[in-house]
Amino acid sequence: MTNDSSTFACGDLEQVLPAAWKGELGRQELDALEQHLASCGQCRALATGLEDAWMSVGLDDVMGPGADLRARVMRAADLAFHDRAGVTPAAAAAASPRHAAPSSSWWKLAAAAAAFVVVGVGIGRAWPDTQLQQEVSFLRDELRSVRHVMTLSLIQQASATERLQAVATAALIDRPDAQVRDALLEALAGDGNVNVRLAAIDALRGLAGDPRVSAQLIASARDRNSPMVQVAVIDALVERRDRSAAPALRAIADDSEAATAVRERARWAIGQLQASAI
Amino acid sequence: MFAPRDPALEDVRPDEALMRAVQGGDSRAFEGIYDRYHRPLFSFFVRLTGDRPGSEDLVQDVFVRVLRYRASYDPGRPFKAWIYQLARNAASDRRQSRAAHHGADALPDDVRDPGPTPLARVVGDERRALVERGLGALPDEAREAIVLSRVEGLSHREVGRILGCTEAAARVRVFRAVQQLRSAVERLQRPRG
Ligand SMILES: [Zn+2]
Repeated sequence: MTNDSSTFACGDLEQVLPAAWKGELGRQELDALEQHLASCGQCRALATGLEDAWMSVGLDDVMGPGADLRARVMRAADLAFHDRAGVTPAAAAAASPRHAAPSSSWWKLAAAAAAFVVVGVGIGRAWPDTQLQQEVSFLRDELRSVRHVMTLSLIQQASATERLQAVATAALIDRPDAQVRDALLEALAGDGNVNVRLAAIDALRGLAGDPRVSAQLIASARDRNSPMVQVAVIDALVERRDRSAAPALRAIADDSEAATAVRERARWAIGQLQASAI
Repeated sequence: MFAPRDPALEDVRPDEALMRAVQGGDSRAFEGIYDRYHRPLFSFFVRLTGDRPGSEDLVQDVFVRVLRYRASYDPGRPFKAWIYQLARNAASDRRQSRAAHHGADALPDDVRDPGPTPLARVVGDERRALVERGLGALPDEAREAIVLSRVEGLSHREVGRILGCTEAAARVRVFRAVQQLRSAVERLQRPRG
């Protein structure tokens, strides 16, 4: 390679050329580059070829996102601003389902189920009649089983939106059975969608004191693949006052490969658990 | 006479001031941030993943993270680098969790179609289409460097902040990514035999 310019070596090209493309070079640096390219055929050929590739990357503005995105984000924001602790993405996602198309029978079922509860509870309060209360209680049991079935069938779905709906439904079940619990634990452990995992954490709230839930939460707290899930799990462990999590939390706080926010959260959680132990 | 406070005036505040207001619970400031960043982020994700609906979800994810982690933002640091870091994390979380969910053998859902992307088809320019395909064939880090520097138009200083390296290292990464792109395009041009 020729290199007759004392201020520029061929090896400088990889640092200087991208800056030249973006107009980030000063006059002197630009002169040095140009001088070098005028005298060095190899760098000139390379620079020409690369500039061609660089310029060919289309700058065409991709069409903007759909109009409903803003509404979805603002609904999520609304929740966050009313929740001092910060929004839970699961709640945000549940508040703004992407594909809220009523074509899914889930929505009809859920609407019917919600009406069930409202009407049932309303009647129960207005007429404290034993028979009526028995009926209301029967309806509630029915509702529970409807929710169980919905959860178990939807959680198998390929679409993340449907799995999210399944998990959100499970969160409405006051006493999830073992099958639903296991489905939620599986979703928490390895669902491909972070929102589904976060929703599963919320749905597992109803299972305080269940050792399997604790074990999975602790395992997920150590899963570095998603700092967001880690933080949410740590929060859940604090909420459960799960002191068995303390060693895992200490390990996370000391894990140099964990995200900084996660380590800080783990440190905070240890403090919280210690405070609640007093 | 005082003119009524014009809400549009709030938009002249720098990002960092808007984000400080968000930390204080100002939802209008959050809207300002959304208005400034949703399109660049959307284009970042579309060019990175080639998946439009998935990119909308990722944009939503980023803004949820902005709120979730708002307390951790330091207003003394550039907001743009922070939000693009959240964007990278969102994209990488999705890649990793998909890979974990589908197993190592299965291709992730968001793997790029080796054929022309819709964007390339719309552009109709053969050369552009080829470069789009070449871009799609690059490793994620290389594609990311090109998208941030060329498509998003960020300075190498900003790219360095986002990627967690020096400005000089960011330039080198872009240079090498463009080299890879050029080779990928050449491979695509070669008739299959
Ligand atoms: Zn040279």
